[in-house]
Amino acid sequence: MNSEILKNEQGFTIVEVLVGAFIFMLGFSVLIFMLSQLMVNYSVDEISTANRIAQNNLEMVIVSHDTISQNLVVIQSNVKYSVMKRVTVSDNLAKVNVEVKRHSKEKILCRLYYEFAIPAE
Amino acid sequence: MKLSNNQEGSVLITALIMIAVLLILFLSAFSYGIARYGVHVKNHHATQAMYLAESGINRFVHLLNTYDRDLKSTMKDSVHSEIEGVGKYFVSARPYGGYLLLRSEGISGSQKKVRYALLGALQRSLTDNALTVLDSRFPIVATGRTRINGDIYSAHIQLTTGQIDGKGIIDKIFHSGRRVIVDSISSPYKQFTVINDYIHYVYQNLEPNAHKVSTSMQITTDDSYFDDKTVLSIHGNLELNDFSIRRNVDPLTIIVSGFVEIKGKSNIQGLVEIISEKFIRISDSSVYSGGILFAEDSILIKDNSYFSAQAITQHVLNITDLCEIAYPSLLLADNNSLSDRGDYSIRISTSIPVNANILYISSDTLRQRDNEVLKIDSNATVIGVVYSSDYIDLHGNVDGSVIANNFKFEIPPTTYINWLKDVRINRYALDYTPILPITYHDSANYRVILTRSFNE
Repeated sequence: MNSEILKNEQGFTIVEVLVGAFIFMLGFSVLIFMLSQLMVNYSVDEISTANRIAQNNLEMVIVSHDTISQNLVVIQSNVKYSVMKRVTVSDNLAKVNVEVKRHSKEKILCRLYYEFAIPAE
Repeated sequence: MKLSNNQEGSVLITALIMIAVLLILFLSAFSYGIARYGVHVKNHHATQAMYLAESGINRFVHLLNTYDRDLKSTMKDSVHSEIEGVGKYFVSARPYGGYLLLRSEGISGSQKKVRYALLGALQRSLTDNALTVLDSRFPIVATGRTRINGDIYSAHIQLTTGQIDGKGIIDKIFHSGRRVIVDSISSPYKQFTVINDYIHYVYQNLEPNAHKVSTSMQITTDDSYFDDKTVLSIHGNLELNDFSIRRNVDPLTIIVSGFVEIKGKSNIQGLVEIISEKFIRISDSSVYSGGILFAEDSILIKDNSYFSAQAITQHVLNITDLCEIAYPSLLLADNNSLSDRGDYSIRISTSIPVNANILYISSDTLRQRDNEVLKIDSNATVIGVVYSSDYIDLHGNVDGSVIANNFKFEIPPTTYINWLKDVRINRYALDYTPILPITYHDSANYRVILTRSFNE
């Protein structure tokens, strides 16, 4: 019986190949789908978080009229973000740039700009 | 027969269809992810556009308060700026009743935000006081239950108590706060031409492009007549009955040669300005919020109506019958006209507190106008600033600041000048800094009264 099977040197039929390819495609597609979702979600969440951090920092500047430039590190969901707050003052008009990026990475995820007059008193 | 048994081809097609379905599934999931990403990028640009629009307003106000005190040239030139890698803003200004209306557009990426701001002037030296009396000829005399909480600025050295009809002072200490004698206090509205500029602006810039109607109009609830119009000129009267409109992004200006009636619980909100050559009457619990009413003859607000806007007239302004006047309203009679009509007045007789700045301006000092008066009835309370470049007939309460040339209290045939009877003025009860209509004074300190943001 075994020798009969071993002697069978016919290849896979077209049906078997297609079913195999189909199963492979199914698995591969699911894998790619999950991977792409993970990447997109990660990227979107990252930008969304960076936007929120930039907005919070800018609102603090607006409320306090703070004109000190500084760098901060903010940790959100165990991820470190670098916040760079740059304020330039010219003729009592402050120009604020808040940039947020992943800590130790170069790519800027979010940048917000705002101008306000420094109160005289 | 052999042909019908051969099904290998159909399996191939089925498999290809399945692969295609999977491919579509994959692509749709991927495009959904990209769309989500796009939404977040759009939100970021919308946020930045809003900050840019706000920055534009801040810069415009800053320019007015620092180098460029020439308000009119600043208004002509506008203000714009482009910030590299971020976006740009563009700010324009126009007279809007007693104030300036700033329109700032912030653009970032594909997103555009419009922010409006109403700009007024800070007159802190006057509005920080409870009472300021400009006339140096007569002393201030308090009688009855008069009580003044806050500082008094007076051009006359004497501040005393007296009696009218034999009724003496109940509380001898009628005044708490500093008393400052100032030789001469200048009126901030001696050369008040802002209203004239506003009317000129309307007739020179808006009216020529108006949609013109040669008959009187009656407009009710379902009428969408104003939807595609920004300026409408009606040769006749206008009656708005149970009518609702809200204009946010594009102001609507209605110029009427006759009278205007707003009634039947009409609800008019946003940047709607109505200019009448006769009178304007708001009644039947109607709502008017955010715009301007300008009437050459008179404005009457009555019957439980709600008003949170500017009411400007050259003659008579009456607030009566339990009307609610909400912040930041302006009630202004600019008696600057050359009309021979005898009565010029503002009268507040509603018992609901009036949350507004009330200004009575009479720049024509050459003629005797015995009937012109700013009168606040004994049941009325005003929260804000009450100003008159002439006299005030004050009987009610003011939680804020009163600035007057002088006061008149009449018990015929006697007229008591600068006598205050049963009056309560409490500066400490006003918990915000009042911002008044703009002037063209060099010392004017411009401030934003309120802002509104809209998508465009």
